[in-house]
Amino acid sequence: MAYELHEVLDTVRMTESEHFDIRAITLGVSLRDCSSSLPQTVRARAYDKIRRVASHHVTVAEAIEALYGVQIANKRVSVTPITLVADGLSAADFVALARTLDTAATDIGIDYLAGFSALVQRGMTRGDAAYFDALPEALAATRHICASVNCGSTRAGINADAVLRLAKVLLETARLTAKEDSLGCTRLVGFCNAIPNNPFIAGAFHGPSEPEAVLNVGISGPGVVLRAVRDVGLDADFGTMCEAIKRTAFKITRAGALIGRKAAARLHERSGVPVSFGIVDLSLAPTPKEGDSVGEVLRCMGLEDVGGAGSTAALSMLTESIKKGGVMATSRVGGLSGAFIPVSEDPVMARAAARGHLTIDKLEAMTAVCSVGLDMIAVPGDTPAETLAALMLDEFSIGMINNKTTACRLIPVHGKGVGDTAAWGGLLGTTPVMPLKRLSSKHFARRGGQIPAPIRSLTN
Amino acid sequence: MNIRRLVDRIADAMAPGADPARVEAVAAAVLDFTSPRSTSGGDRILITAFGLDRQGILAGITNTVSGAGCNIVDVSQKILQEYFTLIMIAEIATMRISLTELQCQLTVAGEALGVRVRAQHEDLFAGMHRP
Repeated sequence: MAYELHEVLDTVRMTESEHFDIRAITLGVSLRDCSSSLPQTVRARAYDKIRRVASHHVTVAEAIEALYGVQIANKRVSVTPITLVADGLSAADFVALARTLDTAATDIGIDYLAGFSALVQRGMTRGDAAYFDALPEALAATRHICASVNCGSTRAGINADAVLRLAKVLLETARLTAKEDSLGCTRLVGFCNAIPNNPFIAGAFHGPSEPEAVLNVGISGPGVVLRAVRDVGLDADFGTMCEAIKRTAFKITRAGALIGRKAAARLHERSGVPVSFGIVDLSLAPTPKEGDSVGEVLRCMGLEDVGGAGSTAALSMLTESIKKGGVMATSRVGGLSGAFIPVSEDPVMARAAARGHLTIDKLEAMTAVCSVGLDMIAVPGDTPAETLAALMLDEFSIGMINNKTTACRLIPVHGKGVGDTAAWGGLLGTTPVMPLKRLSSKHFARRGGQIPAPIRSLTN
Repeated sequence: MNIRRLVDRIADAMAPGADPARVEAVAAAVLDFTSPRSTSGGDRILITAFGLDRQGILAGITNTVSGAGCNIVDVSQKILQEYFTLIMIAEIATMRISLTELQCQLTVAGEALGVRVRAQHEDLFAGMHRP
């Protein structure tokens, strides 16, 4: 037999009972050739381009699922940051463009279309300003569109004006989608050091220097890592535990790279458009399913609950071990790569938050070592825009100073407060509304301007 | 694997439809250990089955796979306590139906036999466990 029994059982068990799946297979499509001064031309070109390149995306992904017996949870498309394609448009035109993209997403059968994005870390053009004006309505009027705004970077510093504006957009989006617990905000993320090849929603976009079409894969697998940590037992030292995680990460990365390569080749074959395989993003992404939780991995490492002392250290070991195992498996590692800690999507974290074990302050500390940031956190709907902005400035500063990606996906749930629960269903999950300190940051956030780039930006 | 026991087992499992030619065909497939071929050829699947042991599992799965036109190149089965584990490698170049159809047929056959059957492309296993 070409394979040992334990090897075969290992793989089958991962795919069968430990929820190993490909979280996202995201086809990046360049819309750089869709620009025009006429809004209707931009819309028509964008729609046609997405149809031409991505219409086989879902069927190819489904065939790959059957071939390997590995579930692909989400089939997505990311596009060039829309403000680069449509800079001359008015706010109303941006909303119309969002609707067109949403129709394209529906027509090709994908779950999300991301890249309704702006890169404003140094400042805004008139088009960026129109984009901000359009965002709340664009999100409220669509189901598939994901938006992201890069507000800062290690090289540029942080555009505090954009951050305050984003906070106001959040509150307005929350109000417009109040009936669904402010669902619109789950598709809007602010970044520092956003990256151009992230396959994960809501922050994916097809970077301006990416090729015509590129396929990126986001692997999942907290359940698989949980088993590895459980198997080494509580007596194993940290080195042994990290080694076990690394070995597991190696295997799931290999599977992710295989699936990405095959899917890109098939898509190229079917669409006739050159589709290259981009990267595997190694981020562990939890789901509301039992046993598919990053929080449970941390608990299994020996913590009574997520949020307790040791949580940041535990998360740092998890993130690092995943990266180390992954880079040995393929040279195509990229994206965010680490571990996500989206509170609502991870039932163990949501429960820890409900019990008061996991606070926003601890989460902020954990984001210094996780793969992204303050993610899927419900906060009171009456939080002032300045407080939201200041919270984002905190988070983006961690990214800027440490030269890492950080992000905020905060949901100020309109009409709800501490003690209430927000429920979005599906992979987005359910979470308590988390308390924020009632201290004013009004004068701080309203200063505006640019937070200067750190000394670390001067690396040449 | 004990060949005598294997042949007896196949004959028992196929009874009363066992004839020497069919038993030989199944046994030959089981014993074809000679050339575990390249793991990167891209045209082989691994079929795995797990469940409580009972008569006819190997024969049932083999019939389904062979009936689909696949060429079985390697089989390994283990019985640990009362649990049955089967791993089969088959070439799919000559398969007459789609992989999805084969997977459906195997699921149906497995349900009748009380085992869970999966068919996955070999590259997944090679990717995870081979350099």
